[in-house]
Amino acid sequence: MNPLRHQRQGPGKNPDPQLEQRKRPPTIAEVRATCNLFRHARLSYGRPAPAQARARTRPQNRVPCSAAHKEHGFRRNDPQAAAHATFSLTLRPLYNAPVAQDPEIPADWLAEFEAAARRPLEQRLKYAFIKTYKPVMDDAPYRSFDTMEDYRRWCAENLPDWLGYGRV
Amino acid sequence: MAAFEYRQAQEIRDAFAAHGCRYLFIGKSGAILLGFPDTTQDADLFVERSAENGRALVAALRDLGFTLTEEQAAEISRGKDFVQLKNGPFDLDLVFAPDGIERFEVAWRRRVETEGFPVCHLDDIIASKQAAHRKKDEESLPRLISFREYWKQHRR
Repeated sequence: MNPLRHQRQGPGKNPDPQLEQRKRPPTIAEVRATCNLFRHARLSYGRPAPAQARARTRPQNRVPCSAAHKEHGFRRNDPQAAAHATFSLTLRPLYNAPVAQDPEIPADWLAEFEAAARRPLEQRLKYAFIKTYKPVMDDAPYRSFDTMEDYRRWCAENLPDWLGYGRV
Repeated sequence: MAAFEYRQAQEIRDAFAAHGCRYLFIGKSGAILLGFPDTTQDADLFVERSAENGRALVAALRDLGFTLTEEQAAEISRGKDFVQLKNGPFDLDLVFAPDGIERFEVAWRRRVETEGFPVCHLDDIIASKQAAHRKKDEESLPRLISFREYWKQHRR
């Protein structure tokens, strides 16, 4: 099945779930991956093709279409053609997709939020909970305070400043 | 004592549900349950203050393995504003009157459920941290507020 052919059929008629998925806005990781691909392609195409590749394009040397070529739109063992196809399938839809980034969220934070969203809850908790000894705070097995104000005052008077429990 | 684990969060959820105790995850642990990528040391629970809920809470805590004297059980049951437990399988902070949130009922109506864990809405978590005016919260608040924007856009 030629994925490009199905892409041309228009929305709603596309049976390929991967192509359907591309309709959503791209994630930061996808944009980065695509930029890397584009940079790689530009560096590759800016140079003259190797003699072997030039020879392959001459009419007398062209390989007749194989079943695989007909199926995938390019020969499996031709990396340059594969790069073209990947470019068409990956980058073109991204150009047309709306940009998802909120200008108020710094890009590095956004990348972290998106990475966390891809992790299951169990893994998120595994990364999130740490245990280090907190002087004074960890020295009693039980404490209770009648009011939050009492608790805040106790923190300010008893805990080391660097723990951060003091009021601003 | 080792760090708090997912399995222990499940045990809290199941023990509290078994005793019909009304509570919400709050603070950074609540935000983490909602997807906020950050680190914290212990779990904070906002518990409804009522005689019935207090009794259910004590029973659930004892089921979880917390060693409570009768005096401590009475204090928890009565609902002191803040109780810090380090006498069980993990550290747990019980908050009955967090800063910045008017009543439990209000927060309960706005709660978010994730994998069966009842969690305070991010607006409430942020409000309580803003009202606390602690140094450590002031440092983490800008990132948490940014996460709220992200979370609201991507919430399913």
